[in-house]
Amino acid sequence: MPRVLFIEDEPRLVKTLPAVLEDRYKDLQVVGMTDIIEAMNRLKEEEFDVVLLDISMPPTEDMDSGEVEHGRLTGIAVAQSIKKIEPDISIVALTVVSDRAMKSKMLEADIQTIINKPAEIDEIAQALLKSGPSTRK
Amino acid sequence: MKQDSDASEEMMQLLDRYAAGRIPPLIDMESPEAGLIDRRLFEIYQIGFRHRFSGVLGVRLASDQPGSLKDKWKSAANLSLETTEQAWTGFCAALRDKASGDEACIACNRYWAWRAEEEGRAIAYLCTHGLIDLAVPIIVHDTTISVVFSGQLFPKPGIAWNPELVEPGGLLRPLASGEKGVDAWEESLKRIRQAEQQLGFADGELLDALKCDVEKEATPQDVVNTLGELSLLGKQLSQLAAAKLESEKSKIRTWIGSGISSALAQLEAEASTDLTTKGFKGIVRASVTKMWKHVARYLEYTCHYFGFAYLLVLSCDYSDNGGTLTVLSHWGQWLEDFPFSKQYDCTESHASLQALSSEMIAWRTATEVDLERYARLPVIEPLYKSLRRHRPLPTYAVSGQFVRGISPVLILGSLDYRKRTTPLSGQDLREFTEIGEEIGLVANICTLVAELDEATDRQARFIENVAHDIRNPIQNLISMANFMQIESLSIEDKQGMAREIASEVRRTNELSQRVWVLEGLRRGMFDLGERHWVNIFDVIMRCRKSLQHSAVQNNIEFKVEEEIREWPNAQINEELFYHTILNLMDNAVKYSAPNTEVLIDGKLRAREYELTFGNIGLGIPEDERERIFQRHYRAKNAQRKIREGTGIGLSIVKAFADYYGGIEVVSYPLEGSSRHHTLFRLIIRRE
Repeated sequence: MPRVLFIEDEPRLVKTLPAVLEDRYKDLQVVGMTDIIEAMNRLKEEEFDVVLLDISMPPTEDMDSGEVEHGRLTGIAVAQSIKKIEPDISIVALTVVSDRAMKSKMLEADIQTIINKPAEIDEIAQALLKSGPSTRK
Repeated sequence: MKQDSDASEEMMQLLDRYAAGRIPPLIDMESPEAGLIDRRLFEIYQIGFRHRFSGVLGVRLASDQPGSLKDKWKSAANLSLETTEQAWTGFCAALRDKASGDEACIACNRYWAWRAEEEGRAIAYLCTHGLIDLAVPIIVHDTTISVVFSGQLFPKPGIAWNPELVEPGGLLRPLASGEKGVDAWEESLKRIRQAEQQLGFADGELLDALKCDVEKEATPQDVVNTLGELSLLGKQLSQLAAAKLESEKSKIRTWIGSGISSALAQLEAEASTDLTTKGFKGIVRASVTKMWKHVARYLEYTCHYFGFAYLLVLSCDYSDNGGTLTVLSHWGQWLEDFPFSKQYDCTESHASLQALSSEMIAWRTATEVDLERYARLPVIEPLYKSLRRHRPLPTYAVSGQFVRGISPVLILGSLDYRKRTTPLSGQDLREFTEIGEEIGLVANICTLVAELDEATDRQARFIENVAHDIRNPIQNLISMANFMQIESLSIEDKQGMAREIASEVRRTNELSQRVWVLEGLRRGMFDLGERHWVNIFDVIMRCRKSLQHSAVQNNIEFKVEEEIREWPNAQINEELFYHTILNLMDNAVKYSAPNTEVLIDGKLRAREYELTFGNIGLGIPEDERERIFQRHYRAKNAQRKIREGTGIGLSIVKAFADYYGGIEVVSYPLEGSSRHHTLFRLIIRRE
């Protein structure tokens, strides 16, 4: 059963998407979090197979706002931190911006799958299932 | 207006020549008509022959040597004055041991050219070959631009000098050695023939015209007479050079001015079509680059012309680009180790530079000031130190005129009084004023291009933000709609979710309306003047209802002054007013700290309604309070705090306020807290 950590600043999405995914796909277990720092702590404490990550989010206090383009690239910085904690974990990006430059940055951050918002529930679920435990080394 | 390509080529050649230090060209063998004194070489020969010099007379131009005048003088200065005056004979002998006689002559000439320049008058000297030479400086506007030489190369076989001249009491001292060189008469004949060819004389015509007795050696009186006549000629040539300089300068200035006007005209023409196309920006950038090239060369020439040891031009534009100082160009041989870059971020010294900028604007015309006054400014300090280390000379800042009062131009220079006999004159300052105007104009175009770049970036960010702000709610709606299908959900949960869906739909709808209003304003399709009778309190209540959900989420409460309910209706554009109030209240909620209040207060006056929107939370930095009203602009701390936001809300507020009254914002930190109290004050005139 792939265990998913969902990091997203939209409270409504964090409230509803995990419930919908778990209801429809019994193989998925999704933990949703709006606070990046708390999410990173959770990742250190618990085992997850996949991270579903929003890319554009308000940066945290310890981030260089300019470097993450005032939130535009916050998810990229988060992905880099995740890889430091869990180098083998799969990351699925959920993003509204996916131009060529952004895609290249995501690849550099070892984000394997990109889903453009808005996406149907099934599309998100399939991406999570594909990136699940079977892909882990 | 298109630049004439031939004229452009001519000007480029002229500027190249000036940039190389040929100010103005005295002799131009490739293009005799361009030379200033080609025909007057004849007079120089005549003077030499008349006074029993062999006729080996010539002109050594300042530009004959590679590099600037300064390089040349610097090299000359390497010869020790003590050596040359006290042990001249030994010095000459040492020089003559060198393999190349030409090299020795050049070194000697350099030294005496420097001396003639230092003394600012014609001088006679004994050259390294034991000959009597004369050096006459040509001085234009206090600057020696060239030196006319006469040479007395072995007037007769076997005679190296005239004892009358070199004995004690004579004009010059003798050489210990009587070594001989080429036969002066043969050399003279050779040069006369060359001159005949170059100047278009028939064979022997020049020689006949000279009609001088060269069989006798020059006497001391001959030297004095020659000096007198050459000095007079030097003065005439100086005047001629000055006149030519003025005329060419005026030509260059007209050309630069027309080029800048052309760039501006193109800018204005294109601006009426599309301000953001790459093609347009490319055109402007190319024009500006071209203009800068011309202005830069012109300044380089100015550096020589004014006798500046170095010249640095800064253009500061604090009203628009928020504290970036642009170093446009610089010259000078003592600046190699100065760490220049194209732009300085002067955020930290913004206030002091802004003060300098204001001061320069107040001058209106070029003003000579002591750079030491500004030596502590971070941008100027390293420059100042670098200069003081190399040159213990007075250093001056000359500020030019500032076009439209927004692009002050600072021209920094150090007057080299070794070369210059007088400080800057009123005429010089007028020149600087005009140069400053030209630089300022180009600097303004540069600023416009930078603004266009910024506007394009802002627009791109705006589109991305709109995409973000629309796609996110849609994603939410998809998820929320699916959420409602979960069978195990209670009726209460489903009802709660239905309310949230309605709120999300409203949020998306409001965004689309804002974009529509903004686009309408931008395209002039929105009629600001279309007025309706509007109940201000009702509008505030409608907005409060619309924002209630997000306010409750963050535990923020609206408090509205009840007295506003009693206000008479205002005659304003209802739709724009609604978006104005909605944006002000939405902003207050967004940037409020949790568990705080948004206070909406009001005062009714005879001629105006005043509404204030106060909140406690994220403040607005002082230097961004004007810019937040610009379209697509978002304060930096706001971007950090909240990802969503298009930067259009306050531009709508500004459009309304500009038409119906005004808007002000104050934001100050609360004592002992990181929070700020922010207050927007909206004035609506009562019609």
